[in-house]
Amino acid sequence: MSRRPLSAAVGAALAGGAVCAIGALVDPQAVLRGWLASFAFWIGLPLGAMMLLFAHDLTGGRWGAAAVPPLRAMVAVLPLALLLLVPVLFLLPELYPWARTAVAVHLKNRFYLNAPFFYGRTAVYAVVWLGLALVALLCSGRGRSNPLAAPGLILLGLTVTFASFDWFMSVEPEWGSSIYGMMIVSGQLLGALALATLAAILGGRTDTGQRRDLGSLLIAAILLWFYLSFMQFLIVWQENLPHEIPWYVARLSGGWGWVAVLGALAQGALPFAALIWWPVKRSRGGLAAVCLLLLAAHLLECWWLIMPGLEGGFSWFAPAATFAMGGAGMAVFLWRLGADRRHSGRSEQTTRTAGLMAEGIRHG
Amino acid sequence: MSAHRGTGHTVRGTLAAFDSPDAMLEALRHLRQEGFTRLEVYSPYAVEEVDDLLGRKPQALPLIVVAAGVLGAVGGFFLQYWGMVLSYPLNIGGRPLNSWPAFSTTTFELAALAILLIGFLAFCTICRLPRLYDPIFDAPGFEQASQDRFLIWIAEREGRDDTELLRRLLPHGEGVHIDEVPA
Repeated sequence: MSRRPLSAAVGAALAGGAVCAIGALVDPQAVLRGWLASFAFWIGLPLGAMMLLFAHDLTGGRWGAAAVPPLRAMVAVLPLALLLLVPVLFLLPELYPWARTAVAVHLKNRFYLNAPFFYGRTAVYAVVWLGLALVALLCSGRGRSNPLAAPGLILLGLTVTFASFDWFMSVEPEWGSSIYGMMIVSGQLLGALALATLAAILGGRTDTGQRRDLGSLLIAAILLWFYLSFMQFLIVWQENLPHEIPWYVARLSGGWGWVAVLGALAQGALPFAALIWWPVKRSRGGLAAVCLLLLAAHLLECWWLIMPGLEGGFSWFAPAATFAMGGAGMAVFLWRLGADRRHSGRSEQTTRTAGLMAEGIRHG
Repeated sequence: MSAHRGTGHTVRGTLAAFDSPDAMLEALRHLRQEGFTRLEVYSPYAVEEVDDLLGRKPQALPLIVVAAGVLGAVGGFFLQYWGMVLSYPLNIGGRPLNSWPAFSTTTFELAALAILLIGFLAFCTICRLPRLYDPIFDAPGFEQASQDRFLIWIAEREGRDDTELLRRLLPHGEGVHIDEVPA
């Protein structure tokens, strides 16, 4: 593996981190806004990767041979991704209205949204996810059976749903949607699958059949994400209730409205139309381009989900935080991917040497 | 041949039945190399490469399906637009007359319905279905094509006796069964 992507990732992490650190001295709330919105994107990749690994343990399929190594490397980023939440945990009142006493007294759901319970739940998510990540790294994609694949998927479905309620939905504590958790999960699946496909293509490990399967899975993920996102919109729009519609008013008016249209095109219609045309699905460049588009659109969606709900709206620290987190995460990802490849290369070599030795014994 | 009008098989031929798709593909490759052109494959499921080996060109079915989808979506949306906006405007809960989010599910359903109906009919037409009788149905063991056998039908070439050539080309022994098919 060449060192250039690795040093570029470290450079992006340092530059982005420096911008955020300087910004934190001037306007900490603006930095945190961008930080949480970018965190929503980066935490989704290891979580989505874990779900895909467990699903592959249960179902199998030739797409795994190409996608499992990058998915495993993504899961290895989870501890770092969880650490990135720490600044938010220290400064809850800056982001979450329910953490401010003046607002909290008017809230009916204070029994759920309060700082001690919030910390407790976050600790539970972290413990469950780290345990499952260990299982995934030990068992998944190694030809071993994984007894925790099915219970792990159920656990992930529940914990990710509640984590998305706690971390992301509760920036607007009076608003609630039961579809929100699954909508976030579908976005995470889409992001993780797009990055795994992109890494597999760039690593040169895919054949035509695998690319076709990965393309078909991407179509399924796009449809799931689009269906859930649109259903939430349709229900809220139809009901037009005063305590529900403000969420969409903030996200569909002004510049954010254009972001919504762009997101529906770039994460929904455009990649869907591209992927149902089989030459795109089979070609290396076409599929890689679709994956890049999906990742960019998913980042935009994460920003769109969180920043309009916060006081101040868009923050220019969001791109900086994205670079800081993405650089650090990519560095770990590339390092793990390289380590995995060296490992598999070494075991291949060992079997070859063992074979040669056996032959030597036979001839001798 | 008036009794078999409309069927493809008005000539005599040979039918080779294989247990595995790979053996069938291998034999098909040899047959193509020897210049056999009038071939037909019957299998319980679509085997990859067969279309390439038989020289079949991609059909227009995907385009027909896309066109049907567009027709169904446009028609479905217009049906609701015409009803709600042009023909009988009705204020429902203060929502705009052209409530496109509310129209979207029906639009999708009608697009799916059009795709299904038109796509099914187009598929049948392209596959020359429905066909109630074909002489090949009389070949012993032909019904296994819809179970677990992979069959190749080789048309008799006019003025040539290929018996010797076919005996050489087609494998013998386990997993293969060869029969004559009358016209």
